[in-house]
This record gives sequence, C-alpha cells and structure tokens, in this order.
Amino acid sequence: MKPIFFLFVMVVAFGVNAQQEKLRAIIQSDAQWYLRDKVLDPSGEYFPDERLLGQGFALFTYTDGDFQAGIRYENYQNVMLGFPTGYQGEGITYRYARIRRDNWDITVGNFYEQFGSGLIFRSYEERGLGLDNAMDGVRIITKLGQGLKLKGVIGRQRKYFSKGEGIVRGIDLNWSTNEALPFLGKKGIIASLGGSFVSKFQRNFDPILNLPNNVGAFALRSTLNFKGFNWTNEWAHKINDPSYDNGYIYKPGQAILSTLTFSKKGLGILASIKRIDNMSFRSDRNGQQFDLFINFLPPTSKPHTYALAALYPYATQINGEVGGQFEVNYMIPRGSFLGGKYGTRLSLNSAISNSIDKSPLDDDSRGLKGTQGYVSDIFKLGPILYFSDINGSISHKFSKKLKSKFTYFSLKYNKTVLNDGVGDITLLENLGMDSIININAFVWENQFKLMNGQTLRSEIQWALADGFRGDMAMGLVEWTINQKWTLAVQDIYNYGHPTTSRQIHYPIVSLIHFNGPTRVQLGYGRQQQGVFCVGGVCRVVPPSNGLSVSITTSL
Amino acid sequence: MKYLDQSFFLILLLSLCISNCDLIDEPFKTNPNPIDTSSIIRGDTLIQTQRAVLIEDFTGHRCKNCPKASKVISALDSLYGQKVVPMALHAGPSNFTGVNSDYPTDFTSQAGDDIATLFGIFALPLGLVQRLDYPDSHQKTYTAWSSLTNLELIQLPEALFTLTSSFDSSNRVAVLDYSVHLTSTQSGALGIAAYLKETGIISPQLMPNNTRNDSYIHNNVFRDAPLGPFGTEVSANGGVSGEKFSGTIATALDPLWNPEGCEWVMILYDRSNYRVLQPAAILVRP
Repeated sequence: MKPIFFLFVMVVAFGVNAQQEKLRAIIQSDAQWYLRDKVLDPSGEYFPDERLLGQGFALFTYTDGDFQAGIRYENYQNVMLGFPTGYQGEGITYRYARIRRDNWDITVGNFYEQFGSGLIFRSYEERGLGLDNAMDGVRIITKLGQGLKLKGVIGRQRKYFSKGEGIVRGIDLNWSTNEALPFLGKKGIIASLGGSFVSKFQRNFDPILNLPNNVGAFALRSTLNFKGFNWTNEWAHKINDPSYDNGYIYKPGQAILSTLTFSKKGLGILASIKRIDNMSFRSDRNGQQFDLFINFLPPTSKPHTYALAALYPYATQINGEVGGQFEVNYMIPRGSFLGGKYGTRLSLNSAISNSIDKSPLDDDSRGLKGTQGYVSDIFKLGPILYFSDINGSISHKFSKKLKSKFTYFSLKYNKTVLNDGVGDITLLENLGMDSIININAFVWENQFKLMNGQTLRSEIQWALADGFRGDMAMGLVEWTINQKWTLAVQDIYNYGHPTTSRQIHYPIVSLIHFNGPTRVQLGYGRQQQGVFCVGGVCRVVPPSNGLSVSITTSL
Repeated sequence: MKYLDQSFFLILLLSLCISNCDLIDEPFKTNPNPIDTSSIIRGDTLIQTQRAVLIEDFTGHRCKNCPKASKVISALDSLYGQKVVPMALHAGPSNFTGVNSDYPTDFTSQAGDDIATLFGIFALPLGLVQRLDYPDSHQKTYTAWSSLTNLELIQLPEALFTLTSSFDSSNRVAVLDYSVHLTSTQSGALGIAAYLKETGIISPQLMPNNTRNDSYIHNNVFRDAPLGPFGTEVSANGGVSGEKFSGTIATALDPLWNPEGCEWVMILYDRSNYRVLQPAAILVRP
C-alpha cells in the first residue's frame, strides 16, 4: 500500500506545484556495483551477495506563506556497505506540517531541533553516517517578549524504519538579554542566557535491576559577545541513567563545554575545553552504535579533510573524556615581506583528548553493574590518552595562476579505543594494553589556473605511522575542465603496512558532472577499511572495490 | 497580559518536566522474576523448548578482575538456569592465562586459542554474548552481559536442540546424539559446533584484591572442540522452519578431566557472521 499512497501524495503535490509553484524537491540517489577483490578482502567477508547496492531519498517541501509541509521518501535496496543494516526497504520516513503565525511556531510530525550546543538534546540527521534521530511528535516555539523564547518538544525518535520505544520530552528557554537590557547593546555587549530540561520515559522490564523509567537531564548556558570576543559556556547534568553504554551503572552524568573565540581582520583565535562524564543519553537504554541518541557531545578537535590524516579521526568518548582545542589563524598582510603580493595564511591547531579519572569505589569495584560505577575527581586526568593532534599549515598565493599550501600533522591515535572500540573501564583494568599510534603526515597542495577557465589541483600526501596501517603515500590530481566537468585521479599506496599482503594501492578515479542544480558523480576504485566520522560520531567503513554512482538534484 | 497564552504554555511545559526524574536508591530488585523452566531433561535426553543464550567468558587464572565476570555468570545461571549456556575460555593474553609456580594448572587449549584469535581477544575479562555484532562490536564487557542476555531471551527461538548423551566409562568415551530443528527460516550458511567444558575444578586464582585464592572453584572451563573450533557446515543455504539437522559425535576424555563435571555444549550458528542461533548443554554423564 505504501508505494500507492506515495504515488497519490506525489500526484496531489505536483498538482499543487502546477498551480502555485511552491513545491520544492531534493532528490539523491547513490549506488555501488561491488567487485570481488581478493587482495583487499581475501576471504570475501565483506563482499555483498547483492553485488549492486543502492540507496536514495526524495524530500518534497511545500510552502504557502506561513505554512509549510513536507515528506521524505527513502529507499534502500539494500543499504550500501558500511551504513547501518537497519536501513532496509523503503517508505516515507519523514513528514511534517508547520505553521508560523503571530508569536507561535508549531510543528506536528517529524522535526529536528537542538537545545544549546546539544549536550542534552539534539535531534538531527547526518546522512553520510546513516544517522537520523528525527523526532516524531509535536514542537511548539513561542516568544514571551523581552527576548525570551520558549521551546517545547515531545515525541519519539526515529530508529531506521520504526521508532524507539522511549518518549522524549523537553523544554528550552532562551533569553537574549539585549532586548530587555538595551544599555548592554550601547556598550557593544551581546549576551544571552539559556536553560533546558529533557526527560525520557522508557518502561523497565529488567529482571534484576530497578531501572529508572524516567530519566531527566538539565543544562544551563550563556553566550557573551564583546569587541570581537565570543564566549559560550554550557553545563549539563543527567540523573542516574543505567544503560548499555555505561555498563548499567547509576552514577549521574555531567558535561561542561566552554569555547572562547576572538576575531579581527587577519586574525582568528579559538580556545575550547570540554569535560564529559557518563553523558550517553539515549531514548533506549539498550541502544548501541548511534541509535536513538537524545543528545550530541561535540568534539573538540579539528576534522581533517586530507585523505591520509582523515584515516585517523577522533570519536567522542561518551562515557568520559576531557579535552581541549586551541587554534590560531593569521593572515600575513599583503605587501609585507612575508605576505607577498597576495598575503600568506598561517594556521596552527592543536587538540588533545584524554580519559577522565575513574577511581574504584570503596569496595574496590569499578564500572560494576548496579553500582555508582566509579569516583571521578574533576580536576584529575585519567591515565589513557585517546588522541592528540598538532597541525599547522602555510598557504600562499604566488600569482594569479598559482596557489600553494603546505600542511603538517602530528597525531597520536589510540587505536584500541578509537578504532577497536574498547572502553576505558576495560583498559583501566588492563593498563598499558592499549596501542597508541604516532603519525606524522605531510600534505603539499597546489592549485593552478589554466587557460579557458580550467584549473588543476594536485595533492601530494605522505603519512608515517609506527604501527596499525603503517606508512602511506598518496597523489591526487583534479582537473576542472570547465564549469560542468571535473575529473579526479588519486592513489594511496600503503607501502609500509605491517602485513606484507596489505601493502597495496588504493586507486580511485572520479568524474563529476554539474548541470545547474544537478550533480552526477561516477567513481571507480578501492575503498580502504577505516572509520568515518562526522562531528565526533563515527561508523566503520568496510573495504570495498567497485563502481559507484551518485546523483543529486533539486527541483 | 499580552503573553498570557504563552505563559500558560510555559506552565504546562514546566509541569510536564516536574517529577520526570526517577532517582533510584536501591538498584537491585529484591524479588527477581521467577525462573522459567526452559528445557525438559528426560533421563539422558535434553529437549529444548525455549531460546537459550551462549555466553563466552574469556578469562585467566592470573587475571584479577576475571572473578568479577564469573560472578555475573553465576548470577545469570541462578536466574535463568538452562536458558544460559556459559563457557569460560582461558585464552587471550598469556600474562593472564600462562602457567607458573603459583598458578600451575594449564587451562588453555588450542581450540580456545583459535576462538580467541578469531574474535580478537586482546584483554581480559572480555566476553561474547551469542557472538553478536561480529566483527565490529562483538567484544562485550561483563557489565553488559545481563542486559544482552535478557534482550536475547525475550526473542522467539530460531532453532531448538534435542541432545542425548551417553558415556562409556571403561574407555572414557563420551557420545552425543544431536538433533536440531529450525523454528525460523534462515537464508545464510549454517554451522554446528560441539564443545566440551568442565565444572568444579579447584585451582588457584588471582582475586580482585590481588590475593591468591588456592581453593577457587573454576566452572565452565572450556576443554575441547571435537568438531574443531568452528565446527562444521550443515547447510550452505540455510533452511526453512522445521528443517532438521542431526548427527553423532564421540570423543575420548582426557585422563585429567572429571567426567562427572564435564558437559557438552552444542551451538547452531550463522556461518556468515558467527551469530549463534541456539546453544544447548547437557552433562556428559547425566
């Protein structure tokens, strides 16, 4: 019945479109034809039975003045390798109606929302990960005057093609102080204060434990902006929430995040610190991977886009971590000795993430189910280094036709935690069993402007690692032929892999075509096994070889 | 009262939030749910009627936290009875499983090492519950075993075993007739593996307080895999509900093993991801 219903909705929707031209659509389709690669995957463990896997979606949005409605159809026949296998089949996964009138903004159906930086509530979609914890319920936003804005949400979260059993309820109050206190604005100060409360309800059927049916969390936040400085702070607390993530301990959770930035012409500085203690918050206490997360714990490290550095991504440790980041971006002025005719950009970024202190309880137990789990001193570091990153780059435009950038990365990557997914409690009982990989990587990127609007971009990358994947080198050439066509060729050679049979090449050829809002990409090559992360949330990428097609368009 | 409606809305939301926190003072229930009988043993025969769960506890006699994991197994055993099939594999890092003058009993076995290698056991204690989530997140810490077991047990059985055990005491040969029928349709290749485990071995164990317990009782110790660590394939293409696989296994017990304490463990599993569809256990000498 579902396809028939869907067709009916589409016919009606296009009828409306013809009359009012207020219908918009975004359509995306991805597919990969997998080829058996006995070098990459000797046992055929990852080779799919289907050979061809494909997935896609179409989002239709209809707007009429202050009214908006939309539906999203998704199709997984079957889901591509590396994405959660719960995505199987097809159907309408997102539909909503929204009206904004007077001081009210009301949505029924599905919606995405975030309170503050998301420490206790963030409902969002990250298609690249296969993460979608959209709410299905009601959201009401209203203004109370004097800069006060109130949000209320209630509903259940999406879990693939169904919903989690837990009910999520939340309230958020934000006060933009400048409306009530205009003298702040006169002094160049922009400030806001906020507070939120979120609770989940999930019935307890555990035969042994008294699990809380209702778990509440609250957060307080502030933002202060003054003469180029911007300082945001958020503190969150969660009551006892025994879950699969924390080993069913009853310790309350805490999180604090503070970020200070400064910017003026040619200079940008960012400093950020974060401490998380037992802050996994899901609407299903038995949830795993990234199913049914109610909150989002932002990473304090810079996501890397260069391929070799990106092979060592950082994943937020929801059960506990303390970390920080510092970044400076500086533009040496044009016309100076070092700046040259076009100026020179310098960037320095460093980040570190470490375990928190988790000392045993009085009875010498640690992390034991049904207990408080551990004792943590907020001012003490744990013994496990998760990740550290020092990277710097210098970018210079030599002429109108040539730009060049050199980047260096020095990474320490705890493979046991970040790649193998071993938790800190296990490691604390087996100290020294984790494996920390030291990586030094270099990237030299050049961009040449050629005749007739063509450009040629090249990357030479080299990563030296003392274990895990070993040493690698990479070359990339990307030729933008014109506004419609781009051709890219790259190869990663893992010449230093500790296992001789894995010392192989990972070539990829891509052809990209743009036609107005339509983008078509064809790719062929090998994808190496790894971990792919967005915003500190990661999924495992299995090795594969094959031909991929991706089409995106908007109407 | 320009914002009267909004104020009512605020009060409504605040009232929703109030009392939406259950603070728990006593985490454990005083009267856990009664035990269901999952199997019927008629003389030397086990006839399964419900789903069971295999818990593999990778352990070592020089691993001080491993007794904590064994406690979890004991608790589950007393709660669920034969619905839980535990095995303690002394395998993994040799600094925890190796023999020395203080810990002289060698509990390791080649088959146990092979299983630990496949599942990448790098530290102890770690476990597998029904071998779920291989290859990405199959290693489960003992704190998670109870909930995973509970989650597994509330599902319908996918297959059920009937086991008949006999023992030739003069030659110390254990014989097992097994039959397993599918109660759900399976599309992947299916395998059967047979293991022997021994309970009630008294030998030293390092305890969580760093002391040596000379009279520690080691239970469910993995001994051997007569069909090999991963057994044998019984179907390349799965099978429909009602389909049956049967056979007979015979093996001689090591002279050091006590037949009274030995048990057969049988599993039917999905060969593509090692997920156990159903385990079963029966005494070698019922």
